[in-house]
Amino acid sequence: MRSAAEFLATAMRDVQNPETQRALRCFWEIWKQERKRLDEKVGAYMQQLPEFREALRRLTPEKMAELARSSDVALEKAFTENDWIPLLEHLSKEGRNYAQTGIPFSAWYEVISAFRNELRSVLVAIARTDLERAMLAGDGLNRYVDLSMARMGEAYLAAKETIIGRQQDAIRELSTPVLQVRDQLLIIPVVGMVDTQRARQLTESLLKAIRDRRARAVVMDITGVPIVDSRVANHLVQACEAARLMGAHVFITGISSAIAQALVTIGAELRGVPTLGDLQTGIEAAEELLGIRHVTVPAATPPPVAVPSPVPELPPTR
Amino acid sequence: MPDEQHLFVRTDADIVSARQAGRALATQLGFSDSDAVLIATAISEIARNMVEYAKGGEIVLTPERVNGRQGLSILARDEGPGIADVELALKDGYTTGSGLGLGLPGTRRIMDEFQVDSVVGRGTTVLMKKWVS
Amino acid sequence: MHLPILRLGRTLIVPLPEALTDSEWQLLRDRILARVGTDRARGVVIDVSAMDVMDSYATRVLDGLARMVELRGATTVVVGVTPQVAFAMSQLGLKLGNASTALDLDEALAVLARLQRRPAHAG
Repeated sequence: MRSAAEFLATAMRDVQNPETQRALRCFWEIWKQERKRLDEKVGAYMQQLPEFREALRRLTPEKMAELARSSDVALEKAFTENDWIPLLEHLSKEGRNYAQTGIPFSAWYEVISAFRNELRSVLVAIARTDLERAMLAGDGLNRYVDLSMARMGEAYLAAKETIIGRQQDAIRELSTPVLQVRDQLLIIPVVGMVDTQRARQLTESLLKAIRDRRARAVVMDITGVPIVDSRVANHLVQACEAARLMGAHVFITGISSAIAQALVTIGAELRGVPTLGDLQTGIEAAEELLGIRHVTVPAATPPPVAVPSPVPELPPTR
Repeated sequence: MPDEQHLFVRTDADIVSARQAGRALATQLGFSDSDAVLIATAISEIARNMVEYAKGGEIVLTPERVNGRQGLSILARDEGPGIADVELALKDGYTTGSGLGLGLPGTRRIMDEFQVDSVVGRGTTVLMKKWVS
Repeated sequence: MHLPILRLGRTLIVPLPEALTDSEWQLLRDRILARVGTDRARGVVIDVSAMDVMDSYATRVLDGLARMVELRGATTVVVGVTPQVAFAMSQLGLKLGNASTALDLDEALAVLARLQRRPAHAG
């Protein structure tokens, strides 16, 4: 299948052909005469489509006039001077706008069909008196619509892809929060599938957090990881080893009995990585590593009411 | 797009300059810092193999652009003794020299594309690529 | 090339440059080992924060050095592995099994202090 870009390249080469130019110019002469009426008709049609109504409402009349002017100039240049660059730029911008304002492809297609139908009835009327002219203009109409669809479609898809990419980045970022519980201690709850891409992102944010927050201990909780196969296990081991190279110890917690069974059965061990039952045990182990001891205050014997409770002495952090 | 670079690797000092050239080019092409280090490390491994086993060779760094994606291709060519069993050499832990046996398999892991062609007695060609993610 | 080996109490501190060739690595290893003896060092801190790359050769020399230093009764702490270098090393499967690691010089000195408070461990 040809891509929009390839299609466009062919169309642009075609535009250099004198025959094509004649057809396009013929079409333009007819369209120009009918433009005001057509624009109003198509504009009214767009107002009926809920997808467009919202976007149109956001446009100020000044902005609308400016858009119309710039498209006038671009069309004139394309059809009469055969300089298609401004028109192509205009169409790209429009395609991008549609993608960004969330107008679906189908709505946009409907508008173009409406435009084509309006012009077709004009051409049918002309055909009664001058068949040759109508045929030539019809050819020009088809070429123009194809070219603009390809260009707008290309820009539309590119803009959509950028939006999707950005959203994926955001999701990825959100899916691996790095939490600091106390000085030098980080917690990373890993939720969801861990593929190569995600593992890489996870490792990179882990390493960056170790440096930025000067962490010496990290608890990585994988309770929320549904499947841990040998690949995932390998990624986790690599992340822990990378962390260790920077001077931080990683404890993995939250390995369910099902995952433990699976790991041993497939022989994918988390070798060299300390694993602990639950998050709390993990935090305790990490705190022990950091030299933090908890002062257990017997809860059963509250201090006498009259005496203000002494401020407990904080243990040294290392 | 920057031009391709030809680097000759004969001594251990050439290994350092080759990987530094690779890192600089990778950064210029828009690779992240992490990827630039991965690329430099891969070049270091491959270049050392050339110095150690083949008494040197040539490394060609070529910027590539395919479907709007920027990439870097690294071709390492030597006229050394060649590798008898490429499959085996790509296995973790395999080595005949003083390496840890992580050279080739490790390098394959850090690159997106990796291909070894070797003829015993004629030499070895390694072609590897990385794409900007 | 001259690389400084600094001494702080019974700790040797070795800041590494951006890159070392294989032969420079070997020279450096020999010099550090000799200094552990002459300076009666208990700790060796090697700062790799400026290094561009830690490939399998560099890692092997460094890890071997750490083991040799250990055999001479001292502890090696490698500091300053950047996130990028740590990532590349882990992807390559490179480990520093014989050395301790720390984020920076401060942490390295703390690591050594902690280790020396404990009874000497068997190698």
